[in-house]
Amino acid sequence: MSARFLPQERSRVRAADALAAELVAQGVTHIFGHPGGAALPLYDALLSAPITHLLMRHEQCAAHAAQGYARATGRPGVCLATSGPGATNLITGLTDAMLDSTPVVALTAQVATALLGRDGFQEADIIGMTAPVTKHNWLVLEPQEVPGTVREAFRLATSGRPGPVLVDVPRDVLQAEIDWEAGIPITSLPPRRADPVGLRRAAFAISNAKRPILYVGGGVISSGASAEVRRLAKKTRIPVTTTLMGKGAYSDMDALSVGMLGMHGTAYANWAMNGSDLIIAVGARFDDRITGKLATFAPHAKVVHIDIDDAEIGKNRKADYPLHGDARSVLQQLLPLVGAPDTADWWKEIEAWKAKAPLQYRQEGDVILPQFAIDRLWRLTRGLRPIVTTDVGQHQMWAAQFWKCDEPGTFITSGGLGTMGFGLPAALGAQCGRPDRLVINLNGDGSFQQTMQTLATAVEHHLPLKIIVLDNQGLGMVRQWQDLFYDRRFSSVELKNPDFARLAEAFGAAGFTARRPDELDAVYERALAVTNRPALVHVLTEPTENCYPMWPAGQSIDTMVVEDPKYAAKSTKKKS
Amino acid sequence: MEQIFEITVQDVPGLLARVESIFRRQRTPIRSFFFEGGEGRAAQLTITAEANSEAASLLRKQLMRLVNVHDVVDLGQVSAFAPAESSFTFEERRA
Repeated sequence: MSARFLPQERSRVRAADALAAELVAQGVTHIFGHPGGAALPLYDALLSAPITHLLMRHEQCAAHAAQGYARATGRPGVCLATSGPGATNLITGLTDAMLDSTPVVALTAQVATALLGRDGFQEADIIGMTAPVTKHNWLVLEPQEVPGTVREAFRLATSGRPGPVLVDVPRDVLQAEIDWEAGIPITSLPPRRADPVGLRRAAFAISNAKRPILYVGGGVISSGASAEVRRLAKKTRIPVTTTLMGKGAYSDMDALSVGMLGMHGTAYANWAMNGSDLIIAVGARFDDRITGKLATFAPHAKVVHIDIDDAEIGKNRKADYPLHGDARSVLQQLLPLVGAPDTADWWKEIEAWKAKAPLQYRQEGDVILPQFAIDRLWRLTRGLRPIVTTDVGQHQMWAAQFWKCDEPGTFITSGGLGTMGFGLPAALGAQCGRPDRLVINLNGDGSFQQTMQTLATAVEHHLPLKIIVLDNQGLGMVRQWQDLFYDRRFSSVELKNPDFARLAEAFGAAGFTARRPDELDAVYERALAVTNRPALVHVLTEPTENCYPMWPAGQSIDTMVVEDPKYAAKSTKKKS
Repeated sequence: MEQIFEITVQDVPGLLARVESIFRRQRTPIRSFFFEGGEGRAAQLTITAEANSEAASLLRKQLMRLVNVHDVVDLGQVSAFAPAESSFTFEERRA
């Protein structure tokens, strides 16, 4: 085998080599992928590139790892798959990235041009399949167009509202020789600013509101607008609530924060939202998990809606003051125009709500409550500024409630799509992007088992991830819905689980088990001390605990149940 | 209520599927469709669809997100082109 080198400046090379060189030019450091027949030319070219390829054990994991990388670094994540099943396995991750506006560049190999449309071996119409779940996708048929298309893919993934893109290249196109020369870097457009008349109207509304609330979503993190949100909140003393995707955009521990809102958010954030007279939505999209029944949501509120995606403004809730633009730029424009409204009475009301319905749990007895397990780990590691990824389900909502964040990009979760299996590969991607940071994956027993093969890749690369499997021996959130809305007719929610600590050991990771509340801290300490490989902590938790506050899907926020009814009668209280 | 959209596009393979899928996701039935393409060049696509003005506005914004769509002009309700008292449907007027 002759040694190949990445092309320099100008040469005649395979399109695959040019593609690899383009990835390097785009600043790609890691690729998450899985090879296969059609992708062979690309994998051959990657051997010469200064890029770490992580061999994932399923392409879904590759897509989620790219998402984790992107969310932790702010740079696009790259995943790679072969044609057919390799490509189709990416779809869940791409859809997740689409709903959570995560910049991901997916590269897929395709069967040779001559076989296209003839149901060739491992042929799938991945362009047709992923068109609705990407910002755009390309089938590249001209070898000469490969590097330029990849460049355009990176530009599109990161510009405007970020999101996933896919480039599909047939095997013979990858193999063909082209004249290549280093491309000119694409200059990105300046961030979009809002229309000045709309800005003045919005500023006037904010300055004169009686019961305003800042509703902060993931768009604030994407646009890097956290500092501007903080300045606006401090200047106006307007309470701030964040969405699940917005966690980290504003400190959960700040006095002006009312925490996360939504179906499992704090009761007081929901009451404040519903009782407000002006909602200032920044990079948030009035999702049904936020609004409940739209017709009864925040009935007295006017809405200032700042969003980079015009199609979000007025989609679910009418915007009285639409501000179409980049959150950071728009807030910078808005800041000098707003005065501080008088919110003293409003704050009295909010403080009363906070006192009436604090977030709490009651750790009593010998069985670990999942909330307690999350809260203890947060307290143990808060000085280490960890990045946390979660999976999907009850543990995710408890993490959102009890894991306090104060830095953007440190709470990485699957919001819009709610993809079980997201957390562990996302943690792997985050750790690759941020090798300097402690990365913790909070997981559940059900969701861990959807992508647990990722452990093998993490072991291979000596990634010191901390994986916490909160094991309630079942699909807790589904069980909770059957408990509350299906007459306790539990259907297919019980899990007979393996011994997760031994499973981790079998993969070559460190495994620990915690069974009682009093041993939790010591077990966590031992896991935190592992530095050269992943460490998994299997936490056996109370199986019947439900997540509150909660309102039934599609119902009005007024129907929210604030506290688990089983606790209502008890008088002993332990505040979190 | 029928609404006319004039969409300026770059004609590439798969374009019509991308446009159609936006109408499908909003459950907006397409009533008529006129397109004269030519690979790679700008072309005009005229669609008449069943949508109220609110839905039409969302459709226009979502169409604008497509990379191969250059412009969308919402020509408004079909009835705007007929006399106010007219109860003709679009199909009847075409006939």
